[in-house]
Formats: sequence, C-alpha cells, structure tokens
Amino acid sequence: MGKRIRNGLVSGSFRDPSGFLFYRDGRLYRQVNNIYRDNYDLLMNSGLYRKLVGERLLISHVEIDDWDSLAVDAYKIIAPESISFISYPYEWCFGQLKEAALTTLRIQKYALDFGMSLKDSSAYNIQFVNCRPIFIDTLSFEKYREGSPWVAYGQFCRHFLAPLTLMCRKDIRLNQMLRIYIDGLPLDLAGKLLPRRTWLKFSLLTHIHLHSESRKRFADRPAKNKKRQISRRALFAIIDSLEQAITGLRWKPANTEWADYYSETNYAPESLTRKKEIVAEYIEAINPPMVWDMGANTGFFSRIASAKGIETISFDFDPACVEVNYRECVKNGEANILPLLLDLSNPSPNIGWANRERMSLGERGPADLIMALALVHHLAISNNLPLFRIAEFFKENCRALIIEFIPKNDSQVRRLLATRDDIFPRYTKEDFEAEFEKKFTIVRSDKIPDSERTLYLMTANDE
Amino acid sequence: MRILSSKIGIVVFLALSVIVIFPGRALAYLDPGTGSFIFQTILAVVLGSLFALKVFWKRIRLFFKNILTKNNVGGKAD
Repeated sequence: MGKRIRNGLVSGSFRDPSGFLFYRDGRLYRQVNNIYRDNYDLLMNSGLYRKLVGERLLISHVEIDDWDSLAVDAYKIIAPESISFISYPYEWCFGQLKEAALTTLRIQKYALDFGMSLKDSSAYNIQFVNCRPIFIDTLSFEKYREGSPWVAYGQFCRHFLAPLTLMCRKDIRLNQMLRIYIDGLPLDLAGKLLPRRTWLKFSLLTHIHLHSESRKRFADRPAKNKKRQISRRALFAIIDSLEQAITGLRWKPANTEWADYYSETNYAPESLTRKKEIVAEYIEAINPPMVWDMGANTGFFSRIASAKGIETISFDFDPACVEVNYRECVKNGEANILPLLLDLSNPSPNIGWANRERMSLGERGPADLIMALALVHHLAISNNLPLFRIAEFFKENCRALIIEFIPKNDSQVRRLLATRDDIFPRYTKEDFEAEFEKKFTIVRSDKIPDSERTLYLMTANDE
Repeated sequence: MRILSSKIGIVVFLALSVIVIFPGRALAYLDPGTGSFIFQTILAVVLGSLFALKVFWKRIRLFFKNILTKNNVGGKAD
C-alpha cells in the first residue's frame, strides 16, 4: 500500500532500550543500540537467526552499512522485510491467536537450543504473512543464563494462554478484552471469569489459577527469591507444559448466523455467478495493490482479489466466519489473504500509551480499494447510520470503492425492517447515489440480474 | 504410568496449592513479575520431579520387562 510517505519514529516502538523502529522516506528501519550489541551479534553468529529465518519464524533483515548519520548510541541500522498490513491480537480469530502462541513457544525452544532466550513474548511481536504467523521483533532475543527462569513466562500466559482459554472455555468474544488490556489479560481476572472446572485441568490449574495466586502472594517479596535457579531441563518442561496447554484448547465454529450466509441468501446461482463476474471486472479496472473486503463473511468475494495476487484483508465481525475463513486459508496454503475480526460500527481505535501505541484501522489505510458487498443495509438500517456518514467513512479509508446497494424491497432488508419501525425514508437508490456522488465518482454500475440489487464501482473525488 | 503420574501430580499440587493459595497480601504497586518468577521456580521443581519420576518408572518397567523376557527366553530354551 504505502502511498502515504511516512517519516520519523514508529510511535509504538519505545519500551525496549535495545533499539527502535523508524521510517525514512516511507521505508521502515530499525536502529540497534550499542546496549544490545552482544545480543545482536550472538543472534546473528550463533546460527539462531539463520535457523529462524529459514523456517519462516522470524522476519529477515539486511544490515545497512553505509548509513549517513549514525547516532552515538547506535550500533547498527537494519532494514527489516516489509509487512503489508499490521494486525493486532484483538483482530485475530481463535485459530490465529493459537498459532501465534505455538509459534512463540517454538521460537523460544529454538532460542534455548542456540543459547538465547526470548526476553518478551508479547502477542504484538507476531504478524501474519501469507496466512502464517511470523515473529517481527529482531531485538527480542537475549543471551540465556544457565539457571535463570523464562523472563517472559508471565507475559506469555497473559497474552496467549488466558485469552485463548477464555475464548474456548467461556465465550469466543472474550478476545476483545485484549483491546482493553494492552499487556495481556490480568491472570486474576481471567481466573475469576473462567468456569470452576478449569481448576481440574492440570495445565490451566497451574499456568492460570495457581500462577495468578502466586503473583498476588509474592508481589511484596522481590529480590531474595529471584536467586532461585531453574535447570535448562526444567525450563523445557515448563515450555512443553505450556505447549500442551495451548494445543489442548480447541474451538469449533458452529451454528452461527453468518457462516451459512451464502446458502441462505436470495441469490439464484446465475445471479451469484454474474455478481462474481462484475466484481472481478471492477477489481481488474482498478488493479489495486491492496484490497480491504469489509463484511467479507467467509471470504467468498475476497478470494476473487487474492487469486489475482492482490493483498486482500478479509474483515468480518463474526468470529465464526473469520475462523472458517482462516482455516480455509491454512488448508489451501493461500497467500495474499488475511482474515481479520472487525466490527465496522466500532473499528479498532488507536490504543496504548498516549493513544499512539497501536494503530487504528484508519491509520493503517487508506486502502487502494474497499469492497462493501451486501453491507450498506446493515450499517444504514441495523446501525441507524445516515448514508452521508457511510460515504464519508469510505472516502476517508479508500481511493476506490466497490459497493452494493440493496433496496427496501429486497427480502434481506425486509427481514431487517420486520421487527422495527421504518424510520429510514431516505434509504433509497436515488438518495444513496446522491450522497455517495458528493464524495465519489460513479465509474460503473450494474444491476445484478434476478435481484433488486445494484453494484457500483466508484473512485474517490480529489478534495 | 499415566495414572500414577497424574495421581502424584494431584497430590503434589494439593500441597502446592496450600502453600500458594493461602492468602497472602496483594501489593500490586510492587514488581508484578516477581510472582511469575517464583512460581516458575516452584513449577520447575514439580514438572522436573514428574519428569524424573517418569524416567524412573520407565526404568523400573524396563527392568521387570527384561527379567520377564529373560525368563521367557530361558523357558523356551528349556
């Protein structure tokens, strides 16, 4: 994407004294500070870097040798492999968070094999590239000191084990708590929310419940107990135990309103085929590097874009749809498509320190093309959003738009209006076109045969 | 073996639970990582012991298996 040229420090990169990320002329770089010199050299020379990059567990980077103005505290400037879209744990489905957790543990095991250890295990250190989790923080590795415990153990439990357990043992929607607790779920809170039967499960009893009690009990007794030693074998036993705990958590999407959407809509097979053809023609006309498919369901139309080699983000607000979509990607080894969880009526905001640590959806845009198929009626009627506000939102977030208008006489809209008063006199095709034409130029429009629906291809007007 | 180790696990953990759960004061303004550190050291002992027991049990089984196999082989030879 990257048409917005970025410069300066990355606002979320400030906690670790080992270095920081910054942009120069739109390219992302990482400064490695002198303080991290020994660890960086160990990572690069021990064989760990080659092993992790070879297995696609860590992003690769190149060292920039001829950097013009190296700061006094800088050891090196490196240019990491670029990632087209940054996503966050509260936007991942169960399967994605689980894979991210297992990847973190796999990396920690390799690190120990090479005499290093992860100094943090934040879920934000993982990103998805070609639907596979990859570790992005090159400076998270430190020399392993014989006898020392895993410093990131508590963080791992908060960022991965607690939310995954809550999602699978209580309610799948509880991953949204990660949006509130930026450094992972407090274990005591997770413990209170979890069903009592989780006390009977050895791995959950230890890593969540007793761990949480221990944190409370020993909070006021620091230094002397830290001298205790843990053998390397015991450390591997703890990591194995965490791995078993995560592997044992399973969730199956079933009985959701949306996962069966296509079999329940009022499309005749020919109409669906025609709709697919029109969407494909529109995408080809724009030929964008990146598409955001909003309200993508299980990614049926997203795949038209991704199959053309276009980076496609497939957003939906139903955890089951995102899970089905993600599993499909994994099963078929699909590249270019990233299913993510997003409630468009309340998209991811800027969060964290000074509200700048994690980017809002808008900050990660604008997308070259947004697809909003069978979506506007949900925003306008279920969420009472006036058409001009919907047009405004899309204008802020994309350069081109494929949008479908579904009028009131369509059975899906009639269903939405069945249980409420029709307070939407301005929800008509004419009003829709008039409001959108204030922000966009309608390039093409096509009626979908045997339906009341119309597809539009629009490009954003210059301000 | 699985039954034995899970029984041992339960006993050890009941004991551990008494030590850990017995109400301690929570002072959240102090280093919140300390509890995780100390808990790991306890967990290391427990998981380490379970691992050692597992190895030990395997050896005992192997020992008796060998004796039985030898006897059987001997029986056949007779």
